[in-house]
Amino acid sequence: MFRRIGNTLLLVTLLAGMTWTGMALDPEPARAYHSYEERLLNTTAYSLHRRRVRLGLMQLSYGIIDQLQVTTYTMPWILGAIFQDVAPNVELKSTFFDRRRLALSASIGFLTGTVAQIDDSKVRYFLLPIALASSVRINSDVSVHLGTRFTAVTGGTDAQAGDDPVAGAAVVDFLQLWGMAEWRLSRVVAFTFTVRWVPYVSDVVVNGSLGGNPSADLQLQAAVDDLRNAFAIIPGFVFSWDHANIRLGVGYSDFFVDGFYLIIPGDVLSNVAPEFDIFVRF
Amino acid sequence: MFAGVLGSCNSLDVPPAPNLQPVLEAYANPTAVVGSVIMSEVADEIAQAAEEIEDSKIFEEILEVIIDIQEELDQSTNEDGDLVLDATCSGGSNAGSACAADGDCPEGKCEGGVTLPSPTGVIQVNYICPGWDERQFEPGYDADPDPANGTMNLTMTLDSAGIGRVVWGTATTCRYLVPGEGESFEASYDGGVAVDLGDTVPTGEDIAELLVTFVLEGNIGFDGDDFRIKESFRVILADSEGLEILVEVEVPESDPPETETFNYFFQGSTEVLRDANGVIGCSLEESRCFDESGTLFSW
Repeated sequence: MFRRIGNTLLLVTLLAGMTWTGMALDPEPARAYHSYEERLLNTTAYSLHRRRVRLGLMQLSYGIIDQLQVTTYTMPWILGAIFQDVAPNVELKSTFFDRRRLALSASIGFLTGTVAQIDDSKVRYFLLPIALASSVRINSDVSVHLGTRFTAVTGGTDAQAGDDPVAGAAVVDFLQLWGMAEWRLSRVVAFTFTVRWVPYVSDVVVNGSLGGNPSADLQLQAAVDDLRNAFAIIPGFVFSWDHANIRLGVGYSDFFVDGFYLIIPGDVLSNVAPEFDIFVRF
Repeated sequence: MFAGVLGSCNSLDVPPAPNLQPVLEAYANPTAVVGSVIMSEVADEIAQAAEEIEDSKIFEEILEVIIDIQEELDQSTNEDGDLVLDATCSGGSNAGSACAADGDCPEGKCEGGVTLPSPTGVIQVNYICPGWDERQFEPGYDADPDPANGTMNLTMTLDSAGIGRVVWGTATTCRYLVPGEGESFEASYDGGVAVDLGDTVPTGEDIAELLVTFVLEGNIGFDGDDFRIKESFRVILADSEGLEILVEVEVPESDPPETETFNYFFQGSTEVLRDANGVIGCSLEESRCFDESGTLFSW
């Protein structure tokens, strides 16, 4: 337990340190302020240019080439360390088209980890998100961004509940659509209005087994009605200063968890859908 | 590619259940008109089938497996009808044991696991038969099941209302003991199994109280003798003296060959025949059928 808390503190310290280091000691001048070059990366088709870095509380990104960015989300590492093991995750995003007013991107990633159960068994999970996004610059101040993400989720457990061994794997897929309008009010402040919607969630399919004699191999299907048609409407702001950037928004309805690619039904968080990040780019 | 692989796993593969509707229809509407000619042909067959079915208690062995699985599912189902797998009690007197709801954990909470809201699907049941070792009846006997004693593999379906009415599969030289007065008898079954539970069985319903229709095709072994069975019969597990057999007879000179059916009931010492004309009493031992006015026909 102490080791786990120690790991978590170490991770948080490292992240805060990296962000602070990025703010104070960036080798190149920090490229903040909203500009033609410096565009929002999340929920848009844009990605970091070559050798550019984005260090933030929520994600760390690096531009491998002008058209390809690699990202890892921090929350899965931190929460993974708290609940069992760190949760490795990587997302590659390519802005394969960016001319005139239009940009198009595709991304693919993975997230995997384990969650400890009360009975010391582990639930393993693996997520595979694939996304397409487009961004249209209507004028120098206003942009519109549209995208879709398909996420395949599979999980499994080898458990021992009471006297009955239970093992199995579950699979569920879901599709998310989003749209975001971005209005640059000044070179520091940009207003964003984001709408997210989940038009499709497959039924959960569980392949499992109950032990003992008789034993049973289960192949079951269950509807996930709570997530079907999940949505969020999130007005927010992105502040961009010399060094620091802050993204801040509070929306209504379901909470789309960045980095986990999952959705927390609105009634869990009283229909509050937060959006927050603090980051530097250089 | 991964998405394709994952997506391909995301569907159920439910095998089709055998169609028992013609059998159920035959029970409901007997078509044969039974007289002395028919009874002289089938009386011995009815008597032998009844004896082998009742002696071997094969229906009990099959139903006990279904009931075991039903109990497992019931224990894993919460009050909303959701299936809760791998949840355990945290704290309280049942700490660490399996649970489906907080009510299963006095002074504790039911946590963890996976909750499946109103699941549907298929359950493949694999049962290793108990064999002929008398020690299985001794208190505390806990030997590992031995596949050499044969197996029973059954398929059940699950829908939001409960266990599907048809359960089917095979028994492969399934050996078990039938307790008798002072001694146990070695019994076995090898063949196909199809069971109709009458309706979808919701959580908590006592299968032992249901009128269950069996269709068996295979070999029953009992106390050293083998008996070929290709029969449908009905029992209520809680009613140890009741048995209803579906009797199939060929229509004479029909081309192509046609069959008709009637029902023969055993209830303790009482025997009843139900054919297309109605219900009459019979006695296989006395080789006659009768009504209130006396003997109708004999053979």
